[in-house]
Amino acid sequence: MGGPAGAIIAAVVGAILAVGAAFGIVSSQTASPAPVDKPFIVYGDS
Amino acid sequence: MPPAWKRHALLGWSCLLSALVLLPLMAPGYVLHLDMVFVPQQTLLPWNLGIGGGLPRSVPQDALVSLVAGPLPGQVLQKAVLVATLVLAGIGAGRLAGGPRLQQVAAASLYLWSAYLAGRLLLGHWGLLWAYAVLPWAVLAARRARNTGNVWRTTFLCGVGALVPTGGLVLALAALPVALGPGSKVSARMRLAAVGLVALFNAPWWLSAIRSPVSAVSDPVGLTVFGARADGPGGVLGSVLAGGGVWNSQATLGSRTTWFALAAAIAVVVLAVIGWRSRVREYAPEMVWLSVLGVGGLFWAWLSGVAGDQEWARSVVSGVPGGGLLRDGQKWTVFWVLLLAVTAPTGLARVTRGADRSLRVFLAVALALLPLAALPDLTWGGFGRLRTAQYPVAWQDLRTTLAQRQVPGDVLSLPWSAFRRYAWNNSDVVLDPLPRQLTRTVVWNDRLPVTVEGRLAEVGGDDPRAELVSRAIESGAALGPVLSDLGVKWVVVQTDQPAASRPPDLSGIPVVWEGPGLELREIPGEVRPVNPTDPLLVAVDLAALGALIAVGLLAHVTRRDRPGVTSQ
Repeated sequence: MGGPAGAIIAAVVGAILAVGAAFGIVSSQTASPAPVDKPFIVYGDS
Repeated sequence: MPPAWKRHALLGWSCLLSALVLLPLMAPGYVLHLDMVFVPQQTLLPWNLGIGGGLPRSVPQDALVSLVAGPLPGQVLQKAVLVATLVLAGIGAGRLAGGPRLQQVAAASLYLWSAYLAGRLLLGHWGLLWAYAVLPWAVLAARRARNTGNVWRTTFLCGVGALVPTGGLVLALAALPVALGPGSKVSARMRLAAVGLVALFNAPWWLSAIRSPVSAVSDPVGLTVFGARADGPGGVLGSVLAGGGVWNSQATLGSRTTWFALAAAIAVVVLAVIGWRSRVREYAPEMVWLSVLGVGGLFWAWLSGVAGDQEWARSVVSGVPGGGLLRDGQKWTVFWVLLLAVTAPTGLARVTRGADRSLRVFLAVALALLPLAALPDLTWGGFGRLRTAQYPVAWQDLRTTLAQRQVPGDVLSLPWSAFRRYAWNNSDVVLDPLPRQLTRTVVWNDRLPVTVEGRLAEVGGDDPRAELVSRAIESGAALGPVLSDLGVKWVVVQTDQPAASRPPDLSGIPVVWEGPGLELREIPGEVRPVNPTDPLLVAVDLAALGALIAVGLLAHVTRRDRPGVTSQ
């Protein structure tokens, strides 16, 4: 595998990584703080 | 000899990734986040050794910190431990993976930049992460011991990594069977010595647990609360497959919710399956054993998430001494994460063996970058979730004030809850730092209140004195006489914390010192002295420390004597 096929594979993989990272960054700002079904510690009075 | 950049690529890459995560934490101050608590100076107290108080959950971690944090400022120790942990984890995984440099670098990425490390770092479980970092080194040493018969290094690493009970167990489980199992060149006498020494290195926590008057069984509610949780679209299984699924929402990165993170995890698992057979052919005993542990740990983690409310699962936790170590099921995916890290790069090499060199290199680099793309928000201390803060001057004043008082007696920490949220600490939720800050034993509420699916649940504590204080507060009784009987002479009220809905009755306990956010009260009259001692445990702890140093020296000396490694 080489030449154009290799270049296409490299471009696709690179794009997937970049788009995936972008989604992760956006989610880190919007998924606050995380999936809601998880427990969290209650600080202060119990 | 390869060029310098190639020789140091693994070290450089591990340092770079560590810097990307930890750089903001290098600013002056302390990282105080959930269970991660360091103080400027920590005094060695009986509870650090598991004497008195509850079960020895952070033994000998806190004892070692007490020995170091004082001569060395606590913040320097904290930064050094965090940096060493991440760098060692990356290099260790790379060296265990072996092969071409890019394969090692990819393994380092997969292990260092993992959902497991992210979750535990955000939870503040640095003692467990230390064992995580030592794990690949211990497996490497076990491989070497198996072939050379020299087991000192393996034994030493099992001891060095055993800062917390789970850490000690993880290392012993992973390394000893490989080093000493069938086909090993280690002599029968040395096998006995290794097992005995590893048991001794772990004695500070297991002996303390056995000798503790507190019941060694844990609250089964903990399994429901601490079981693995889905942190993305793949459900519990998809989460733990990636090493994620940590129970606490406050320790989960937002990027874990993306489909891309799930797809990346599946891709890594597929590559690991492809690479597994080649690895087994090359390193059969260690790979087979690591696979058994990996799949077993993964299965338990998944089970803790889907069957945590089942009676049989709860009976394991509450019916067996030490069963509490299984409560937080996700942490047992540690073997699985290492297994993925060392096999996936081999899998990629197999898949791409027909491709031309430039494409192979590109895809190997892509695999090394995949963990960063899947968890981009681990960068910069989890996108700013881990930050440093300075203790207010009043905290040091309080420590000095209490240290100067000649009257014996312990301290009670109020408000009566385990976690705090200080404005001076960026309002992060953190375990009460007072027990580590003061020179006297602090009685604190070790019950853990958590919200599970909108309902409040409470995981029971195990300190008998804290339990009696809880009952007194719930009954509305005046605390003074109760505390006197429990050996508590002082009450510290952190006045910058939310007030309790049922305020404790502090009548007759006058304020004797005040500072911003802190108030010290003294119980009049004499209190019943409580001086927990356990000479046997102290002697065993000292023996363990001495033996660890001796084994470390032996490992160093005998390593130099090996053919090919000798000094010339």
